[in-house]
Amino acid sequence: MPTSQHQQMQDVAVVIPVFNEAEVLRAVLDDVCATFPLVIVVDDGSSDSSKDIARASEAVVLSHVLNRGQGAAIQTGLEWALRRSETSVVVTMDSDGQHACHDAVRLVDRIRLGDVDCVLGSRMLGSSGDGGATGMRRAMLRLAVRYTRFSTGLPVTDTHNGLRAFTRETASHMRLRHAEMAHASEILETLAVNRARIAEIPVSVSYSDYSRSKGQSSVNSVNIVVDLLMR
Amino acid sequence: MLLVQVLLIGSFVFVAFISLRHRTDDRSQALRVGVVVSVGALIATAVLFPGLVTSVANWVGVGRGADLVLYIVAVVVMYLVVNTHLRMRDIERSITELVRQQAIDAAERENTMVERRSREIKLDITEKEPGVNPAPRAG
Repeated sequence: MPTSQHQQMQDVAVVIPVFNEAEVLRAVLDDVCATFPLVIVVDDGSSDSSKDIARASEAVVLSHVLNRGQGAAIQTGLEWALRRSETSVVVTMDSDGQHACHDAVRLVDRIRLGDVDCVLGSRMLGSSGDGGATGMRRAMLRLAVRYTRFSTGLPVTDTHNGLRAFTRETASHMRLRHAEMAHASEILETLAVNRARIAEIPVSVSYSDYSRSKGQSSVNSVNIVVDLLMR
Repeated sequence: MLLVQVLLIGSFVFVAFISLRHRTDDRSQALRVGVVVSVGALIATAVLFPGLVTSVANWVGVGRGADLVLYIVAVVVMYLVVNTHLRMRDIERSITELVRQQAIDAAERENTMVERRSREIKLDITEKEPGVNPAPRAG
């Protein structure tokens, strides 16, 4: 059902990579589809009922027959979004319910001001705090931020937040090849290489027990660094 | 000839035979024959004249010939591991590309089908509209 908000968001494509999120996916998609007319779910070879849940929603569903990692799923979604000529803004969002739909709207509003090519959600900015991240997670995020600032020169405060908005042109520069979590750094590197103007805005992130259990363990940050160095 | 020399040379010939049996394109096949023959000559020399390897080892600053061989093998293995890793990465990327293309193609097909169906439904409605309720047949 097209709502007035749908009309305003006609040129926005929301890309949501999904891997085994059946538990929360329906609620997430209902919420996002109510705001955005084009929601692209990339099912990354889920073995649960995620794909059927996505198909039952109003989202467009692309399905990877094999699990290829979140970065690969985002890239697939971007490519589909860019095939549609009306798309002028692409938003990426996690599927585990940690991001709020109204924050996605704020990102779009921000990018529409026209002075930046990319808007990134940050857990570290402003009053939003880090949404109850545990100590270990906070330390790991800080480390990732320091490494990224050093390697890309971008003054970001949060590097692994899945909520982002890109202009069409910026999205078309993405060639994500790191299948696993290193794609977050890869996105920032692509932004740096293309001298994209970026802005960060504070977003709330709800770490439910569910998302925490799905999130990567801090040990994985070692793998991310090795992945990036080994290219 | 010592038994160990027979065994070593014999196993090399066996491996060389297997690796050359799968013919690929002409150029890489020629290259492979070259590599196999020269490595084979080296191994045969080393196996038949162990003293030679030791003097080469001494010349480069290694005590025993066997140690030198071990170091060379270590380097070769490292090369193979890196090479295999890079090839696997390329294969992984190709698989991702395939999976992505398949996903996009499938969605595309579904999209056009949905469009066609909705067009047909619309056609149906406009055709039937004048006589939505056909008069009941007299029975």
